[in-house]
Amino acid sequence: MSSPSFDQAFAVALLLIIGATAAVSIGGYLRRPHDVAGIHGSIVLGSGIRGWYFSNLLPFEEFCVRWGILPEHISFMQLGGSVFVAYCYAAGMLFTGGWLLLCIGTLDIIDGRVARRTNSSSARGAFLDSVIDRYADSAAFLGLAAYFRTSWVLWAVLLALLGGLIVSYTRARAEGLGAECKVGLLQRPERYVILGFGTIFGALAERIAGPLVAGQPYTLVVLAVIVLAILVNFTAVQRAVHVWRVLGQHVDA
Amino acid sequence: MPEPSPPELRGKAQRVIGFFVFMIGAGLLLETRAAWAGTSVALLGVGLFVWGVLETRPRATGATPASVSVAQATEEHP
Repeated sequence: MSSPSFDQAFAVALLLIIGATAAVSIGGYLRRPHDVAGIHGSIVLGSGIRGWYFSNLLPFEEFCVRWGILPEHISFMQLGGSVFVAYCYAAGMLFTGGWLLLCIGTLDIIDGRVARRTNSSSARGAFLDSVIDRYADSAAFLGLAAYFRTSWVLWAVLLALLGGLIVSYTRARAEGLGAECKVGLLQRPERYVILGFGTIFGALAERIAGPLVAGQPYTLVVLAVIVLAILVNFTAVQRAVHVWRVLGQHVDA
Repeated sequence: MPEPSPPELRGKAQRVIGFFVFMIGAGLLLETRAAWAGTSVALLGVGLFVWGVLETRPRATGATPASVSVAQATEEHP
């Protein structure tokens, strides 16, 4: 919209709506009896918040199972959505891009759960899913890179992209060598959450308060990208060290 | 044609989709000049959300759809 005062008021209203919806939804989930025994949480995303999120996905899993939507179809929807995410980020629509990113991250979770529920997990499906995941991951960062192309932030975006690819590569290579590698601070859901909510709240903060650091637009978004770049590369090193030790044990044995 | 999902699941799906659609409409309104497109998408989201809330509200007679937990619904329709 053209009026800054309208933008500011609208951004405050959106912030309140997001906060109220999250509080009501998560509060309602926690008040009801719930079982998170089979859900593995992490430092960033605990089992409680994952349980709440999975409970929201249940109707969509049901829908896919009932209508015979295959995991491969969902993966291709994820790929198509990632093109829109890249476009939104490149065009400076960070709020819209952030929500779309959370949507495609959700599709990535749903396809695996549908495959397990319908017993349609296959090596071919897993391979296709991995390839599409890498494209979808990279598309979001390429969009951000295009947006920050004239700024030093570009380097942080590229570092985060590189780290994300290496995190996935270390696991794939380790599994190819016969070692399991599921450790790591930031796995894909955590990366989606940090980047998605970083861009959503960064875009709102920009409209409410302007740049938090003089001369640096979208300060919160930049902060989220820097945090992501550091933590994702830390995760890559963490995994590399883990695999190094595991393979060393194999040699000793 | 598959039988419809239980009301709780259908209502939840409508609320979740409605919320996401509203936020994408709000994003279009906030970040583009397509005010009509943004408003239309946001209103569609609000409509879906309200529909989802009505779908799961307690009825005057019989069992309330809201009393059917997600776990029960899953057991009935695995």
